[in-house]
Amino acid sequence: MIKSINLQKIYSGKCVLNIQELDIPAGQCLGLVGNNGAGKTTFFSLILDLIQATHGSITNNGIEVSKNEEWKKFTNAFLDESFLIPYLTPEEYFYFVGSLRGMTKEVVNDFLLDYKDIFNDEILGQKKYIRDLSKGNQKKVGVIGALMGNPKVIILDEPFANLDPTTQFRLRKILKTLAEAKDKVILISSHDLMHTTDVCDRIVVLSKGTIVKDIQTNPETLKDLEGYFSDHIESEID
Amino acid sequence: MIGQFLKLEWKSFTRSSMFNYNMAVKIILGIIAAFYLMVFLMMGFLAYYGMEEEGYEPLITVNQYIIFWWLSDLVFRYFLQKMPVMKVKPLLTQPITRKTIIHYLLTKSIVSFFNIYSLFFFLPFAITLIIEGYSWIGVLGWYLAMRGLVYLNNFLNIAINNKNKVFIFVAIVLGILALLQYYNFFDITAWTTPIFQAFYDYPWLCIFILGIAYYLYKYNYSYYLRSLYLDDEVQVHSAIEDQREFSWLDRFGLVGALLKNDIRMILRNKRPKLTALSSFLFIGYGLFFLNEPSEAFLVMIALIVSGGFLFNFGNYVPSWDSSYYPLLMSQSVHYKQYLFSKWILMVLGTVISMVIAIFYAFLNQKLYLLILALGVFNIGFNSYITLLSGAYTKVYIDLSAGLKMFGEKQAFNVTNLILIIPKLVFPIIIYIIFRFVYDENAAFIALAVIGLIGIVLFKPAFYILEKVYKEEKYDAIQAFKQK
Repeated sequence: MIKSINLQKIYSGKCVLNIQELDIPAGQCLGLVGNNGAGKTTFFSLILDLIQATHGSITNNGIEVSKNEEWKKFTNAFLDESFLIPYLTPEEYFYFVGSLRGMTKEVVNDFLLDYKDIFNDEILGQKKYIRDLSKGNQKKVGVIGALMGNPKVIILDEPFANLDPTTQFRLRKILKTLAEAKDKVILISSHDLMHTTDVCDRIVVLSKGTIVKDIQTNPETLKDLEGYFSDHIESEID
Repeated sequence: MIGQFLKLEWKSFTRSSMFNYNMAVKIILGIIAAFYLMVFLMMGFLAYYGMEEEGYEPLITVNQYIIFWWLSDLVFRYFLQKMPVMKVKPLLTQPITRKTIIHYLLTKSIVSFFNIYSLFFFLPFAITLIIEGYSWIGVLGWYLAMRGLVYLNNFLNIAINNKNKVFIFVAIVLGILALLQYYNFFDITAWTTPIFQAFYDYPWLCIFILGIAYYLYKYNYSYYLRSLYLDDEVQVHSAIEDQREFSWLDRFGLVGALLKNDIRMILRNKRPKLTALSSFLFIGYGLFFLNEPSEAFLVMIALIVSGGFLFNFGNYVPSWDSSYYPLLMSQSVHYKQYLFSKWILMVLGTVISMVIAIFYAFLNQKLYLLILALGVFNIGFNSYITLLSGAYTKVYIDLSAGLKMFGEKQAFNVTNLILIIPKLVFPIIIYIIFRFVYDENAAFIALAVIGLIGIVLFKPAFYILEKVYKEEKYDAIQAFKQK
């Protein structure tokens, strides 16, 4: 579904992302982990054509993202607060995104019913603009907005960060249910190894822009990853 | 402590992106600023003799106009003067007293272009008065009162900014007074001139003005002292009033959704609201020049009256959406639809301006015909040019902030300067050519026809715009990150 070939992003002489080949088949849920500066957000921005690759290309369902805009119809994403419109109420935001994806108001209302739990009565019907919501509640709005319109590709950058523990578990359940249907590509980056290994079928570890691990999730994965990241510390101390 | 603040201030100044815009623009801005200061300075020195020659008593004549200067100074400040802000959040938890921070903030606001420019008139004028034998004590009292008015405005403006809506009232009152004065219906100066004259006759009266300025300083001080808490920064402004649905726009599908969003942006954010408001104030601009003989100048006025909103709004497409541009770029919106929704809004603004301006038909028929012709010209020609220059403007806009002096500094670039030629100079040339080869009516028709041709050529124009916007997309996303 999403193919990257010889992908490179260079900022003023410094290579921040260098992926020889990464192929994400339809129906896969992929978790991207790595320390700060590993290139996770850069990779997502490239898939969404928000920045230009220095070399190489990405195709989304056979469409080269930098050449043709058709991929936008079946792709939805939430990377950061620049995906929120601060002066709208959450309802207005959902209706807006919905209308861009051909959903009528009624369809949006039905869609939102499924997420009543995660909103926890703090989002809808509050008569507040998004800019006046707390960071965590803003994130909920953005993440749920990214699930709208039945997309074939969903991209979430650090969806668990800033959320309270209860919401983290609820979101994990939502993502797991979506992943189990096996009909969409879900891309998640996270620093939370436990949530990531629980939700994703495949984990890719990035370090300084390159892929250092690419594993299908199995019962040992969490230990593996914890080992990898703590070894990192020890080798640095040495 | 103050030294530390100054150091921070200097760093934020030298490291701002402002320093990245190019030399040519700096020089042009410098020349413009120097020109205005020279004009003020000349006025200050020559005003006295000029008025004397015409048979007016200089001080009384100046005092007649002080009231207008004073009120318009306040309005300009409201639109343009930046509030004294410092990134206080990281400082609040440091061992610095709140009092120090606030005193610093307020004192800093005194160092502003708005408090300095009037010096260039009042100082030379006061000196001339003394040279010409006015009592120096009287002149000193009068001068101090004028300085006091400047500081009074400075702190009054801060107070008004913290409490909204006062300004609209002031602006309307000022506009009406100015018009009444202009058409000699009512003379406010008859009331105010003796007051200002009194500062010369009884110099000690200036203490009142200085006292009010000091009181306003204290008022702002205690306001900030009460409100300078962290929770004010994350304060929740609950219970919003604006619940309008604009459901009539739903019929227009995607473009309707985008339009709805733009209307909400304008209604709910300070910066775009002020922009829209000031655009419609431009409609009244022509009232001051009804008897203007120069034809080229009339064309300028008609351009501004009909296109105030079009220029002010269009110049900052796509920058209006800077804080959520990545969202729009990754949703299924094509540039064509995005640009079309902006264009429709600009056209609506122009049509509304043309309708409101109908009162000109009773005052000066020729001017109104010109407004109509240039309205069509703006819709069919300048709308595209403005959208084009917007693509190169690319600057992060803080929707909740006020307007900025000279607009956004980063918005000055060579492309935009060049694009002023087709926007403003081209219609004037067309007018003049047709006016002198044929007659006025031919010139009106020529301008309107160019506009109509532009509307017909809608498709190719949007094709080009779309291409430019696509090319500039990555730069725009990058630029919008620099807040």
